Amino acid sequence: MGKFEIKIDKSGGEAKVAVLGVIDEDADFGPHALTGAQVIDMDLGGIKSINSCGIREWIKWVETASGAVIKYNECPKIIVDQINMVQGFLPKGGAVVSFYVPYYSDESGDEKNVLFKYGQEFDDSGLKNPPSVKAGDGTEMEMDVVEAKYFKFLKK
Amino acid sequence: MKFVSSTSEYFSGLSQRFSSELSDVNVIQGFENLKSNAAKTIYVDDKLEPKDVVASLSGKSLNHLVQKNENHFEEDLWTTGNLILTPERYFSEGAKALIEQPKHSLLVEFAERPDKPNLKEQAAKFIELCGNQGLSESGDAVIEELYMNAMIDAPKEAARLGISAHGKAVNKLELECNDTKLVISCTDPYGALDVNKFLNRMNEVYAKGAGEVINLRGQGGAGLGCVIMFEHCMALYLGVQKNKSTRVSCVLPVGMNNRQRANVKKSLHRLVLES
Repeated sequence: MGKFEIKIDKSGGEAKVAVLGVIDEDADFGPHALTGAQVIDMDLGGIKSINSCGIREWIKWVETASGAVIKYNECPKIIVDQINMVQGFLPKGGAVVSFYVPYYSDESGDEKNVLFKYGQEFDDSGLKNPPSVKAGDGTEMEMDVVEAKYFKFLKK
Repeated sequence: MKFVSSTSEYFSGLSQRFSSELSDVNVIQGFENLKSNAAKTIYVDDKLEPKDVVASLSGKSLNHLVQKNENHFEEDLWTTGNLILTPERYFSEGAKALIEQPKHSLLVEFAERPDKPNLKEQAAKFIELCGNQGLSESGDAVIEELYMNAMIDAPKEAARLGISAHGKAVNKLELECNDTKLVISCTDPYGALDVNKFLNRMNEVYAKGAGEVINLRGQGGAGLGCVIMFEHCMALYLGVQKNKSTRVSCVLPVGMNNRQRANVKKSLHRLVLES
């Protein structure tokens, strides 16, 4: 299990925040209030899992940044699922800058997570230019998500 | 089994054992054929969305809704028919009551919060044996919520109802898998789960949205675990032997990618035994 950890680097009105590990009933966001920053850049690529208690603590935590612009970077699938399911997980004024999309090859069984970035693979109008991804054996991989469900947050 | 369907040939292809055995069990397709007293009945469908599945059991007498998924339907019907006639098997046999010929098995007991890392580690290694990364992520999400239910919600609810643990307060997590399914089943020694309340909560989450109904106060559950589990599984079994034990089980399909798994139709079961 990855240990829960938050790193915050504040400079002027900006804060760079990295969240790592497991976000569950033991995750303590208390000492890491987000007050004071106008722009918060969050790196979420190190999150291993999140449960229902963790979702609740997360929503309470991001609310401490009231008024700030929050940017989510490198969201793994488990975070994209929460953004789609739980209103408030991505706060008002928040934006997803990049997120991972699982790919799968039926032929080889290979799995890959591909990073989609704002302005490249998606923008405010939704998904554009999904990349061509090859498996280890050179065969084309397919996006392993139900597009209407997984990319729902892009239309909000 | 006795079959009633509005659609011809809905049940064609089932093996002979279904017509000759479990004769007290009614299998109904089409809501117009469902009677108000749905005891000993399996309602069968293949088009219901998760919220509609929950709504079909919440506040109703129907206890078993099975959706038709290729390669699973016959086994799911058979398992459910047997559970209707002998529901105590669900509690005595554990996860094995929900799977034919398991290839791998794991039992982990846990009693205290420091047991969680070991529980998660053993379960993660087990699930890796059964399937791909998507299965591991779903299995992990399910186990997180089962752990929360057993370790935090159940003792709290039991204390509120004045129920003490049956024997030492040890919870059990069981995992069984074969080539087509992974069963994850968790038992607590209280039997305090109010299954109808649980179903009503699921109904509420689907009807209003998770963000609207999340419990933002207190140290207990956020009230979303019920739906998180259901979203990850193919079948959810909510079982309680009142004042004795609660057993919640999730069945996940094996051998599928995320997209296929997301399109699997969901089944839901309620098993309540008075003590």
